[in-house]
Amino acid sequence: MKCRKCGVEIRESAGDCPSCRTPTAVLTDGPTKALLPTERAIGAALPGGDPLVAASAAAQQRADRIAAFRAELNELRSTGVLRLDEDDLATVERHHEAILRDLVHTFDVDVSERGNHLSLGMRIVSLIGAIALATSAFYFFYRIWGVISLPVQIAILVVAPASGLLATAVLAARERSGYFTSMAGLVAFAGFVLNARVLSTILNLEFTPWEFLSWGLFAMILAYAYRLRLLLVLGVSALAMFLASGALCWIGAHWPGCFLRPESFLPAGVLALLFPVLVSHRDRPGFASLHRILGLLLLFLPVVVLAAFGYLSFLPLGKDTIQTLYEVLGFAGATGVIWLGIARRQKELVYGGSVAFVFLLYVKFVDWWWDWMPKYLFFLIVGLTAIGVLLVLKRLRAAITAIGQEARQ
Amino acid sequence: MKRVGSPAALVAGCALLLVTNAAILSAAASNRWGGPRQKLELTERELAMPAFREEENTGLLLSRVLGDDAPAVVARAAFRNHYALPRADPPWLDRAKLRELGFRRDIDPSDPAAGEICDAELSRRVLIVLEFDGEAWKSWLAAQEERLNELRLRVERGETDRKRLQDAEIVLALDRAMRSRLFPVDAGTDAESLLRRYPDRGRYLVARGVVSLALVREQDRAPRLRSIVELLPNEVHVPTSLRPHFKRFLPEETPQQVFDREHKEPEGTWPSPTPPRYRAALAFGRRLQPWIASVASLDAPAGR
Repeated sequence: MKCRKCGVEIRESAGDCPSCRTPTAVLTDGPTKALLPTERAIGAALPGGDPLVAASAAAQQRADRIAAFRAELNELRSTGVLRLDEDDLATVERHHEAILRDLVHTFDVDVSERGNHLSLGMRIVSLIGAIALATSAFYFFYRIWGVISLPVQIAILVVAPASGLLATAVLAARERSGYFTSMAGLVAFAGFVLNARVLSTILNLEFTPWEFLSWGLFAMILAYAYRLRLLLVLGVSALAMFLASGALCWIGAHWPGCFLRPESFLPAGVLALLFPVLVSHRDRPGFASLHRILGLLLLFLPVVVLAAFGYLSFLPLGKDTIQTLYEVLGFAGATGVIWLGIARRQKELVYGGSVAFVFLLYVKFVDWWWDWMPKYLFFLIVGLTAIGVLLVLKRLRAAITAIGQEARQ
Repeated sequence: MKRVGSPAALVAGCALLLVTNAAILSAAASNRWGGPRQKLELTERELAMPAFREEENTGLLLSRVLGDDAPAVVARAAFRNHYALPRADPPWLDRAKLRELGFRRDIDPSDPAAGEICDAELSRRVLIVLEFDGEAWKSWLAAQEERLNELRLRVERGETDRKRLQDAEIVLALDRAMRSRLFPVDAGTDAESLLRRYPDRGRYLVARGVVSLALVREQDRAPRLRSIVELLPNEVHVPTSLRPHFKRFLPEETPQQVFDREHKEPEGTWPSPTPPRYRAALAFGRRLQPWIASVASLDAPAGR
């Protein structure tokens, strides 16, 4: 085979090019190419969806593993635990460089700490870009809708989200990192919301919770098809609003009343928590965690509110009884969630339960002590509680890690 | 390389888009099927222009104003002049009617927990019977005149200052010329029975709305319960075909320009009473959703 850099003929088994001394793993498509099918195979073996996205996730994991290996190797060498021959080390280094170069080339993965920070920055920029594009579409439509006829208005309102959807699908097939896909998905969702809202306004239809259902379903289609986590958050939120406001309409109340009745969000919270238990999200990294986080939020936020403002409950009981009931439910529920999180090694359950517990505790502190306690003492107790919680969380984290290690062994 | 990712999602998304649009369009079509079921000629007092010019928006929505709400320009002047505008408590919206509409709890305004109970009471979606330029408007006006007479007596007795009386006289003159004459007179949950009970289509309208409760605590007065009636939707879109008729009535000033102008005006300045400049026929279909059927300036023939 030939060196890509200088064109000199080199042997298959040679470590470097004899002319320019560049590692063959980098310059040729020999050994590195053989490494790739692993990721592709992982992606292709996943059920449903686009294997390229799953393969990208697997590629990023591989890159992260290499980075972690390098960091730990440096640590072991600096402490003298491990002594490696320089040649062996260089071979491993070249091998990893080649893999990383190919992963970057094929999957556009982040290979460094700086790259990860840049990646977060790119996510934020893509979010800002998507919001700006959606706002631009919104203002553009409001700029022209008074001078165009109803059929043209409807055509624009339908074409906008359809184009966004098509752009998302096209970008998802071509883009490896997903930034532009996420941007297009958000714009498509904004276009869909604009479509439903403006068309209802033009035709003087009052807002109904069914609109939340259609927004939620559209966001979920985008989220699940193209693995867009932001759209998943929007979808779950819209569906939660549909369930809460729909229940209010069903009993003859006006839909915004759901914010005055926190209990109306509880069924959505239970469903969001149960969904990843019933449906596997193995091929959609982060989705199950997001479901659990949103589920905890939908469950514990109402509980905390009701523990402080019992008169907002549906229950035909006295205000104090309701508050006590939700206090008990809140503390017991948060403890149960922490226990479940440890048992199932799900960090988001542990942290979510802890945050709910602490938040409920602080709300009760205000309820019990704010009016009569000197402020310095109140905040001292809050501060000391925070220190106590940090210590407990540290122990919990250690427990989860230990359980994880046992499971791996 | 595939041309599009997940074609099934593309199809599902487009299908959902079409279903959503079809549902909205069919809801509007079924409302207007067979022509308007109710139709009433209203004026600018009841279908008000936006308060400010919107540079970024070429669309036009008219606010459906009820008699309880002062015109926006009067409300702003009252705020600047620290004048408490009179509010109308619908006398028909008593405890029995509230119960009929779905409010389950009897609230005693003097109860210390009345505020909490009121906050927790959910607004009810109901059907509102609106009377145009009828007895409710006349009795509201009579109540304001009586209030003014009482104020005159109090000024004569030296119990209150003359400025308050002058403001009240100006506000009443503004109300006579500009306030909406559309007053809610009844509510229920069954459209047919309400339409039967109020058959005069030239005076009554049955529309969708919301009734909610609020506890009012005023200085030197016992707390009282107030019922609030709102219409759904509270704005009506002007179709593009009718928009030219409204062109010359559009507000000329942006919010900033209005703020700057009002800031320069001396305290105690009130707007001049302005009679309505247009009338519009508001039609309601089978599902009691409104639309503007025709419009005319009050010195020109109607446009359709």
